[in-house]
Amino acid sequence: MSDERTDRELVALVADGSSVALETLYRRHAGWLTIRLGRRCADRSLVDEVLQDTFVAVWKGAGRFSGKGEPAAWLWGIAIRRLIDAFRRRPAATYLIEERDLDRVESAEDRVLLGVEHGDLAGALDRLSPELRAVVQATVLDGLTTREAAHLLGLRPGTVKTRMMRARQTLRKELA
Amino acid sequence: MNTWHLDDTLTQRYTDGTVAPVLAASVEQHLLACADCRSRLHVEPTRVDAVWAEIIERVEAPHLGQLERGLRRLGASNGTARLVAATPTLRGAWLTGVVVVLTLALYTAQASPRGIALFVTLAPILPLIGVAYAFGPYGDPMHNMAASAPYSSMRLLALRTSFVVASTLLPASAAALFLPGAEWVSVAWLLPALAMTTLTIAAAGHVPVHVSALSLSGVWATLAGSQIVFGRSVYLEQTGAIQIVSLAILALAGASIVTRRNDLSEQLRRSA
Repeated sequence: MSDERTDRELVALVADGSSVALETLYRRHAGWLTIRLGRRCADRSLVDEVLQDTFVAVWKGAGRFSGKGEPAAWLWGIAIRRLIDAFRRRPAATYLIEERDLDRVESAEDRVLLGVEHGDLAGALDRLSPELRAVVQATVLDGLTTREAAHLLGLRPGTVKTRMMRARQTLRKELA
Repeated sequence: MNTWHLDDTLTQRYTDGTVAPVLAASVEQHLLACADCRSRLHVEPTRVDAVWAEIIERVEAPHLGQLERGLRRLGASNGTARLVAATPTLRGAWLTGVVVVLTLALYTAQASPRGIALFVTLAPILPLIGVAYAFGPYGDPMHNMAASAPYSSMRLLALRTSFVVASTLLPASAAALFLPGAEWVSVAWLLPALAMTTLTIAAAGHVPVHVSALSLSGVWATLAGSQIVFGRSVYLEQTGAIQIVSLAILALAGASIVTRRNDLSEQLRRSA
C-alpha cells in the first residue's frame, strides 16, 4: 500500500464521504489497533467486532475530528471507548490484567531502556499488586476517566478512586 | 529528536503479548506518534479483510439500519429486510409529508364542512400515491435490484405494499379521530382506500403501478372532492353504494391477486 496521503487528509476525505479513503485509513491502522485491543481483551471475535464498530464510528464521525493532535490517537480514543461499550454489552468478557508478567525477569535491555525513560518508575509499577496496577493502566496509561475505568474493570467508581490513591501513595514512597 | 523505535525483537514480543506492562505502555505511547513503528505491526491479512467486509457492508447501508435490524429481529430474511426497508415511502421525508398533509387537512376540517371533504378526499389518495411512488421507476433506488431479486416479485410487492399502506393509513386513521361532525365520515373512506390499493396491485401486470394509482386518485378526487367545488358530493350522498362497490372491488382484486400470483410475478419481472 503506497498511498502517500497523510492520515489527516484521509480523515478529511472520509468526512466528505469517501469509502475509498476509509479503506486506506483502515488498512493502515488495522494492525496496531488489533494488537493493542488484543492486549486488553483475549476474545478475538470481540476485538474484531470492536475494530469494526470503531471504523463505522469513524465513517459517521470523521467530521468531528478536530484536526488538532494525532489522528492515530483519535482512532485509539474511539477504539478503547468502543471496547468499553462492548464489555458493557457482554459482561462475560473481562479486561486483561497482565499478571503473567509479574514474575518475569525483564531483559537487561528492557531495564536500560526503561531506566532511561522512567527512572525507577518501571520497577515500582511492576511491584504494585495486580489490582492496583490494573487501575493505573486503565486511568493513566489508557487515559480513561474514573467512570470508564470502573466499567472496564467491573468495579464501583469509588473503588477505582481508592485504589488509584493507594497506588499513588505506594509509588511515591518507592520513588522517594 | 526521538531515536527510540521498535526493533524486530520488541515488535515480535509486543505482538505476541509477552512484553512487560510498563515497556508495553512505552511502546503504546510511542506508537501514537510514530507511523513507521505502527506499520511494523501486522495481523493476518485474512482477518483484516474479514473485518473490512463487515465495515463496508454497514457503511454502504447506513440509512436503513434501524428498520432493517428490526425486521430481521422479527424473523425476516436479510434480503427481504433490505428490500422492504429500502421502500422509498418508509423514509423520513415521505412520512413527514404525510403528517404535514394530514395536519393541514385536519386544520381546514375544523374550519368548515368543505374542509371535511378535503380531508376525506386526501386521506385515501395518500396510500395510492405512496404505492405509485414506491413502485414506479422514479422513487425507487432498488428498482433494478428488486427486479433482479431471486424471489417472487409478487411477494415483494405485497410485502412492501402492506408497509406503504400501513405507513399512510395508520396516521390518516389516527387523524380522522379528530374530525368534527358525523362519525361515519371519519371511517367511510377506509374501505375505498383499501379497494383502490388492492386494485392497483392486481392490475400491476397489465398497467404500470404509477399509472393506475394516479388514475384511481383522479376518480376518487372527482367523487369525494366535488363538494369542494360544486357544494355537492357524490361521496357524501352515496356513501352506502360506495361502500358496497369498494367491498366488491376489494374482494375481486384480492381474489385475482391470490389466484394469479405466479403469472403476476412473471409479468412484473418482464415489465420491470
